[in-house]
Amino acid sequence: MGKRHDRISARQLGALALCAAGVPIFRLCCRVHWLWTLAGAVAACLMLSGLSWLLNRQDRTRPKSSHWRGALAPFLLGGAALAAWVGSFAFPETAGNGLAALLIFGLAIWAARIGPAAVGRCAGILLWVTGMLYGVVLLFSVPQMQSRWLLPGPGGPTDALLVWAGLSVPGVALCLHGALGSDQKLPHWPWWSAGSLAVVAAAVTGGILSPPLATEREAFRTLARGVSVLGVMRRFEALVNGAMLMSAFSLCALLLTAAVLLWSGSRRETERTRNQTK
Amino acid sequence: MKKLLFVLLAAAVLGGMGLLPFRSVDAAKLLPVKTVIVTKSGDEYVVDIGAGVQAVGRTLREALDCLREEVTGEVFLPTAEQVIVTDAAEDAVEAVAEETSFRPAAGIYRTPDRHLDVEAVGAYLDSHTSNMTILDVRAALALGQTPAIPVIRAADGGFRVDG
Repeated sequence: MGKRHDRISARQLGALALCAAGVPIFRLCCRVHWLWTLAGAVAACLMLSGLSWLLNRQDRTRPKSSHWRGALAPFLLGGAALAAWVGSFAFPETAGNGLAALLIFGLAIWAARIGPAAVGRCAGILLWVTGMLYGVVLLFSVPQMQSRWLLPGPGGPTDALLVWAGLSVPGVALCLHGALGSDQKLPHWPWWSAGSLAVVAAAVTGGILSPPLATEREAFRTLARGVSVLGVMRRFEALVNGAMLMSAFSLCALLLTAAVLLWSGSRRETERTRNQTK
Repeated sequence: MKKLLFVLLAAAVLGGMGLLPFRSVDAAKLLPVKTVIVTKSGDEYVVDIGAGVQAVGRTLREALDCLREEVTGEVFLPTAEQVIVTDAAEDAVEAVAEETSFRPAAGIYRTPDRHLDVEAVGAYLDSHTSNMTILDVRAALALGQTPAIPVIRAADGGFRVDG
């Protein structure tokens, strides 16, 4: 392991990936029929779990080339900018506002600059907070579900593919784990938890809003606005807004940290090769 | 610590310049709405929120915008628990269902009576909650079905809900 600020435990990395998965889950997966979400989620979980297994089996004492990893950095940077942009939609008042996106991006850059350890500490807290916020909304929504909306309905393999792609994004944590060269084993629970949450979110959203309304862009927010407890309307949208902001920050921080580490690792190796040639 | 102070200072400066994308509202100026009656007078929609506050517009959206602009204070529609559409404004049901100012969990009713006392009907509906919400109406309309909206009418000095 490197310096102190480079340390992020495998569990913290898993927490960060699970937090980041909140973006695809509550922005994309919950708008797809739960059966297609299930298909996409199982495919994504199997893939990420398989990759984690392979990574855990690798011999980390052997030096590996990291030239190619640097090439991934610009894509990760673009992904982080996109995550910040999506984060601006966490609050209806700031939807699409460049300054709000810039604030999220700035905070994520700040965290990534301090090092993976800072991002890991954030993830440890954010996982509990976002988990509780999403959990409260989903839990109080369940009694309002209508079984007739859960019957096989609209959608197709393209939706499953979208879910698979969305849930694969937090898999960047695997790159980060590889780049850090940690000897800890990456756990499988983040992938399966994210997959399960995606299916539950899709079932609850579709089961309350009905399949045609569940495909709307702000479906999960509509669901939160319609939650009643014992027949009395409750204002849960503020919880959802906050949780969505934290998820977007986590995704942005994950992608930026991975970009910074892959880029610096690639540069270090290029310099080492140059020195050896001299 | 210095960085944190810098961020707080930057946030204060941006907030002071009104550049932060958040809007603050004085809580004392909030006018929470409990019951809304939508009716029609001629070709114009009339939105009545009680206490003699009414707004008129060619569409429901226009009437709600008029309500927000002309009433002193900040009209807060997300607290509306019941929306009553008179038979005269039956064509506004779809607009009510699509209106994002109302909460999807708010109850929706129809009424043949043109003039209902907003406060009285609101108090009655507090103890007679509707099974039909705005969300149910939206779902039915999206599926091409006709929503069975309960009807409330004045009867024997009180009210009666059918359906």
